[in-house]
Amino acid sequence: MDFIDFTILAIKIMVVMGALLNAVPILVWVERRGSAFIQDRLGPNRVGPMGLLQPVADVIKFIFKEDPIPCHVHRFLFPIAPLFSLIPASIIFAAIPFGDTLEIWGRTITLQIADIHIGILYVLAVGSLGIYGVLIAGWSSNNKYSILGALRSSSQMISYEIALGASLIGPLLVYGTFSLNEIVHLQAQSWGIFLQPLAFLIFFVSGFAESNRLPFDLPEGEAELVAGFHTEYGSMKFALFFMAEYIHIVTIAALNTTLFWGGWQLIPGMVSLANVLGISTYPHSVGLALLKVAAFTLKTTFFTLIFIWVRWTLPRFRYDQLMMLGWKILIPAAFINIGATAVLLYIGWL
Amino acid sequence: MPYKKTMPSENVLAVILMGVFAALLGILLLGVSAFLGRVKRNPEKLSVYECGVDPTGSARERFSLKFYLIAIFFLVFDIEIIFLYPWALIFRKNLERGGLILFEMMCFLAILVVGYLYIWKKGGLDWK
Repeated sequence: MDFIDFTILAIKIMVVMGALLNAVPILVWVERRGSAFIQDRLGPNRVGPMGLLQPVADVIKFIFKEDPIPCHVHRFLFPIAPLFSLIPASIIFAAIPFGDTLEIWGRTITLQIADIHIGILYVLAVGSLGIYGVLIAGWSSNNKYSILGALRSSSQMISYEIALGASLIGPLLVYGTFSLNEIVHLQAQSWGIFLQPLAFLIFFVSGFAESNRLPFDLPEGEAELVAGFHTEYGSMKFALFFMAEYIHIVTIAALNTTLFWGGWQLIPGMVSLANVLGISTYPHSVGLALLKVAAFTLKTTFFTLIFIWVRWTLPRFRYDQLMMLGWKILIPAAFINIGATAVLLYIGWL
Repeated sequence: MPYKKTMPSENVLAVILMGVFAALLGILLLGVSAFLGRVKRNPEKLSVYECGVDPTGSARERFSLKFYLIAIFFLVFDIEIIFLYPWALIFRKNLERGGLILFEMMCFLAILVVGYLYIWKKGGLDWK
């Protein structure tokens, strides 16, 4: 690995982190304005045109807010708990390919930060590290609401993690590889959703539970637990939890795209667009690579918007309903999917 | 397939770099906020938040045993599912050698399902 390779890596990390961090204020705006339109209100529309500068105002307020560390909390763990949430949420994206290989100035650049051979395992492992942030925050706050929120949250996350892990075995049987980049390559002809619709459904629902979003946001059910595990947090510490949640949503949307919707494979219709623009002359041209990145971004944006849409459409589950859905519906469904996929592969229908 | 394999060390470096980037960003934001934020302490603000009422009792209360049960089920099932991963990886490449690989894992799954049904029957999955 020479200096130029290292520079390329650094640029890729900068671009991806920049995109993730820029997604947060945009999503906050979309969430607030979108929820307002769904509920027939106007939403925040005073700061800037159409309220577009509202997230900037929010950030300024987050920075200048007082950030007290209460007397009763754990001195060391309380301030660093937000980092335990933010770091895993950010580094999952390292394994996700956001574009095809690109050839420029005689160099081949893979548009993926780390082409990990065990990509799926990495994603699952790092994804479950997010529990520590929640658990440490809840425990170190030394507050009844926080600790109850953290307990509920971790219990919910580990329950749905089984369904999540089991749902990925179906695609794994079909693709026969752990590497996310190879999985995207294998979806050139037909996207994974057509081979594994049930797995997609389970993965999609579990994704909501993993990111603690409505209808699975019991950890912070405000009617009963105030704000759940981050009750005692304020100012920038709260903002970091907030950022971690949104980055998590984007990451799960990107994983949905990668595993089931063809990743950076062009959306139907984009092929003719590439032909019209004259950039499809050879497979690794810059124009085609950018078009593939655009395809990936579009798909990911679509799933991210579904996350927001669902939040303002569905009511929250009761805790027993949540546990029932996870343990009695999703897990058996995932087992059925594994068995059915294996048998269908054996008799040669898949 | 135009597909360049990268060395594992590069991947490790990339992941570490990304983690460091995220960590530095978080620390920077916390630092900026701690430095620029208004500081005006008072004992009410620093007490436990319990909806404005004086806090009663300790937060280290006993909690429902169900959470513990869920954690144990998680351990069992998660490990069982991890066992399925290597099988799923080599399944397709080994299909031409006959159905043994399918049969073996079906036995494993059957045992798993029996255990699962037992937990269900005993009411371990009910949340009352």
